[in-house]
Amino acid sequence: MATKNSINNQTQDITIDPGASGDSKIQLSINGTGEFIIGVDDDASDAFKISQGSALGSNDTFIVTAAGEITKPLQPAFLLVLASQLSNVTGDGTIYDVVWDTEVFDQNGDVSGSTFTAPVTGRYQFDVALTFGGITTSMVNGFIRIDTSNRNYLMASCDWGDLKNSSNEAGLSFSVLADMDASDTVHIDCQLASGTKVADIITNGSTDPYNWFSGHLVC
Amino acid sequence: MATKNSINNKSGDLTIDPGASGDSFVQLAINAVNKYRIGVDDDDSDKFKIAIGNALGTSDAFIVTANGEITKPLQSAFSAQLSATKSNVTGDGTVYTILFQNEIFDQNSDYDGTSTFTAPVTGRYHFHAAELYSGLTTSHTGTSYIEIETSNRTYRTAVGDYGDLSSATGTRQINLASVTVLADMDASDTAVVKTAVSGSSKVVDLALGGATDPRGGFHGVLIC
Repeated sequence: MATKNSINNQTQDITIDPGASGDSKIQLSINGTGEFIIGVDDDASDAFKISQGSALGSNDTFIVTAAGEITKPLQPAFLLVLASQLSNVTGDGTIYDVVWDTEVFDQNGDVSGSTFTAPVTGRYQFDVALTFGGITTSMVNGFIRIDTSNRNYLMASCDWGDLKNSSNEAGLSFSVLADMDASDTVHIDCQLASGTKVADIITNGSTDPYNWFSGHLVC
Repeated sequence: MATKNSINNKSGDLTIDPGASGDSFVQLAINAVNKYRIGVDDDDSDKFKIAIGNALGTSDAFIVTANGEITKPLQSAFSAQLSATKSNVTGDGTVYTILFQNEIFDQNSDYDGTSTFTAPVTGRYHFHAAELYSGLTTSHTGTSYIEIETSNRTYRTAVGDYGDLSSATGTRQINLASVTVLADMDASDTAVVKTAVSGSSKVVDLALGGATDPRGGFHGVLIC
């Protein structure tokens, strides 16, 4: 039995068509306030969009192009890099919290300083790379760590004094898919140990970085 | 105030039901050209879909299964490996653009089958690359690395003494060179993987490993 506002006529599809121009859309509202709008944006190469509010093109959260590529312009995603060298930060066992000086992008505005704060509970992908300079053969221990509120992911644990090249430089990277609760934080720290505090995090500018910290909400 | 064609009756939701069979959908069109169809595909385990055109099941861009798993069959995504060992490509500091010519998949056809991915739209792309080096000598102590070179930035890591770290027996191999990043790409920007080993002569190979047992590769996906 059909309920009020229901459509169950198999011979009559629902087609929304504004005519020669304009968006083809469905507005979802509560108490007269447009909450989300779903439709085809006639002003954006006919992309399919789910947008906040009452207009396609203003606060688009989900976009499908005519070729099927999907982007999510408001999804939490960030990339931090180092443009300037950080000198004498570790080597003697000091655990150094990496201070990133360049924000390449911070989609959704969840990064403050060098810390990302999860806006919602979910699974987040994080990637980090660090390159050290000034390493001595004495620095036989060390690590790079992704510190989240729930867990600390420690990797790149090795004899950095042996890993270094003839320029006394060495760098590694690793990634994790981490469980984060809303308002949980994540940052990067590192340590080289058993030597003196002369190890640097070396850089090559923000365009060709040797060091980065990136992340995004996966699901 | 309700506008034309609006539904604001609090006591009645909008339900689309084709009856015993058929898709439950809404067709979005502009000037009689069908652009997208949103709905439940009755012929495909009642999955929710956002499809291009005027049919569910033909050009599906976004799928939610009855269990809630989400796939994006047209999303830009690729995976490629070496097709054969690349011999004597570096070792003397030569910067080598790695040819990943065994394409495992190339969803949306944005990888050229050789070395280069081209971004179809502006966005954030997650890339990963890794490789197995072989034929090293203890003299390969110089600047060695792997990097993903994009139009906007080049991401270099896995810096180290490859000669010293390579396995001491056989063909002296090392398999720790790996790079992963979420990169900003503009539409038509490209990404390739490059590497260099330094300190001695040009005798270092990039080893295949095996097509079904890869020791490296180049992978990427459009994230957001």
